[in-house]
Amino acid sequence: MQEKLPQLKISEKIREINFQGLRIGGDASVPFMQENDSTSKPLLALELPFFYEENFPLILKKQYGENYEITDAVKKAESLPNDLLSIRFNIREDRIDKDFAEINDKLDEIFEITKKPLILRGKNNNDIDKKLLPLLAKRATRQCIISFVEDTSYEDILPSLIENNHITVIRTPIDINLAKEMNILTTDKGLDTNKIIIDPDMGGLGYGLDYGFSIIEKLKQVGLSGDKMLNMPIIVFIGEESYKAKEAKSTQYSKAWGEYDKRAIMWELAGASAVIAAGANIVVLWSEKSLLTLKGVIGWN
Amino acid sequence: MELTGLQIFKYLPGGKKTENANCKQCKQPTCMAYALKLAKKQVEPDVCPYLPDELKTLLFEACKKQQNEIIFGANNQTKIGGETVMFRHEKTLVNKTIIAIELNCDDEDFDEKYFKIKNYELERVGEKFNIETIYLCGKKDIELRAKQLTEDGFSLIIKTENPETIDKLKNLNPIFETESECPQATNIIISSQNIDEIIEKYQKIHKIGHQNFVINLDISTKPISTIVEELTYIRRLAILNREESFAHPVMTKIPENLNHYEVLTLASILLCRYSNIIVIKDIDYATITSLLTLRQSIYTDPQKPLQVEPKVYEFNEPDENAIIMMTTNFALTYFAVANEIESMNKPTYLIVTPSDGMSVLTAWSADKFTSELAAKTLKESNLAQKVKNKKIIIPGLLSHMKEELEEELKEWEILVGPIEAYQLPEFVKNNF
Repeated sequence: MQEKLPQLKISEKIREINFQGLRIGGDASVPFMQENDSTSKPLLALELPFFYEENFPLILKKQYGENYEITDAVKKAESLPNDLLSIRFNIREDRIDKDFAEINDKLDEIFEITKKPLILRGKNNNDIDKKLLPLLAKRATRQCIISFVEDTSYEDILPSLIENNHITVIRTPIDINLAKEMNILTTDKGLDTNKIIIDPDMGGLGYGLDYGFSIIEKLKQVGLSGDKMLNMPIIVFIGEESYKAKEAKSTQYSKAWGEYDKRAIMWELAGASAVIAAGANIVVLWSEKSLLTLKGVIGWN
Repeated sequence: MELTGLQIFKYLPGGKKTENANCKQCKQPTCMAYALKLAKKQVEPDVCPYLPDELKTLLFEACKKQQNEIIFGANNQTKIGGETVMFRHEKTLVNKTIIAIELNCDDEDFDEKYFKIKNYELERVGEKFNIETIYLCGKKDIELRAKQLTEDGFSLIIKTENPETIDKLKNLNPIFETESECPQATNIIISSQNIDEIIEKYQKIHKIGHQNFVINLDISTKPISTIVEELTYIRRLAILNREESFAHPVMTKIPENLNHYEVLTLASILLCRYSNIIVIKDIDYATITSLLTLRQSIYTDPQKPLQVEPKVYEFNEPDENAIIMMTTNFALTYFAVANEIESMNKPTYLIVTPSDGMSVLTAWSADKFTSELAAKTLKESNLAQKVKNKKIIIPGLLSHMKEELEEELKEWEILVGPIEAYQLPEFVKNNF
């Protein structure tokens, strides 16, 4: 039968980024398929907030414990099985200067503590990110993935990312044409096409996940069929999206919705499993339990 | 793939410009006319004496079903299979993956578990979530229980080796998992370890005269990559190659030794990657809710966003002091807002604009939420006569429309609401 199995014809592999000992992308088929000598495997990142916020979902408050301190959390993550570590520099808008100062103070220590490949994330606020991301790009003691630039911020942020040799995450809202346009615009500015990761800016489980799911599948199809401006690896910040959902936050649901502690983790797990099945190359998680579970299940490989 | 008239025409004498072109033996004026009718299946292929074998094969392939649809169950019927594409963006998926829960008649806690299955019900974004199908196994009172379950509205997959049981329960129109003989008209499972075994077993059982099959692919000791690989090949053989042996829905059973989180993870991947039925041993509400929410997402029609009827919705018996809000008719937006309003317990009118089911920002950028549209919707609602407070809350994402709206709606005060629906209760508390 082996010889009769229908194979996917591709023109080109998804670009492969060699990053701090990891191979990101390089897909030669759809996920988990080994045809065309595909060796691509999804990578898992754990994401930690730099600052503790009172409105974190209960499940994460439990995970972070009392007296959250980013340096301790980074230390703890060293012994977890995440392929990458992502730090979210969630500067608070009512104390921007103080928070900047604290980041400045602790940055070197963080680079020191962790040996994991790093993703450094901005606030998702253009005004802050235009200051923050160039600072991180400059201060990083090794190559990092820096997230993200978008159409309204790339001109200000990109030069320092290029200069310091980082990998750039480009975010475009679930639209394949916009993704291509941004890839062209940024490479025109001097960004290396092999240093781009696409963020399709998708919704989490129950809140538009379907659009993102299909955009990932389409991006992969177009990439594998040889479009050199769309064959970059894909990253999904599923943790952030999952914990926006009321289902992952509220304990006020009826019994049929399941116990809160379980549901809140499963909300992220189901979304993460789906985007991995669709073809995401890096999945960024917030819950340690989801990380451990996913690592177990996809690690049966 | 269906053949088009033009594709067919190329094989005919008229299309090839050879002898006998437009000979009219088919009673059609030209080869082109015949080709067009043949594509629509309005004429038979054998009335053309010059039809090449190559085209005959193509036509034969084109009318083979890619994946058969199986309808099972008696009181409530469940449909599975019938899929036509590999990816959901190509064409809407046809029948939702069924999540079946296993019930063993020999288990002491049968009744307790059944009670939990029966009582699972909730509603999310307008869809009722419940368990439709039970995988029934074991021996004790299986016939009695199968009838009771059917009466209660469940469709059944029944595992039994007892020919008498099969005979007595066949009227419930279940899917049978059995090595024993089955009447020809029943739905029957082909259990197999791998792809090769499917062909072998299918040909054997098909020869006896069976028509309705479900493939049960054993995934119990396989790594996830092998599982997805086999499921993908089976679906490709069905959809792309139209291989008869694989033109059936596929069932997978989640292995026993997994915790709930692992069950959910594996089931989520199976749901996205081509399993038509997933059998789960345990009934855990959080697992089922997360899984059915994923199913709701994956099986929405990508060409048609979920939308609600644009109109004025009333909450908590609004009177002349009611709060007024406005948003678009994208279902997720509507339900997010509606949920919050309900929980606030304050009399409220929610005006939902006709925005083609787009979310707030998308609607705005596609000109489906303009100040003219907002004004028109508000005017048609007659709310100006119904309330004292002429205040209207607009979505936080549209704060830039405030002035434009004030211009258009001179008698109203425009309040820019929060960006996220969950911030609404606090916003209302601070502003009213």
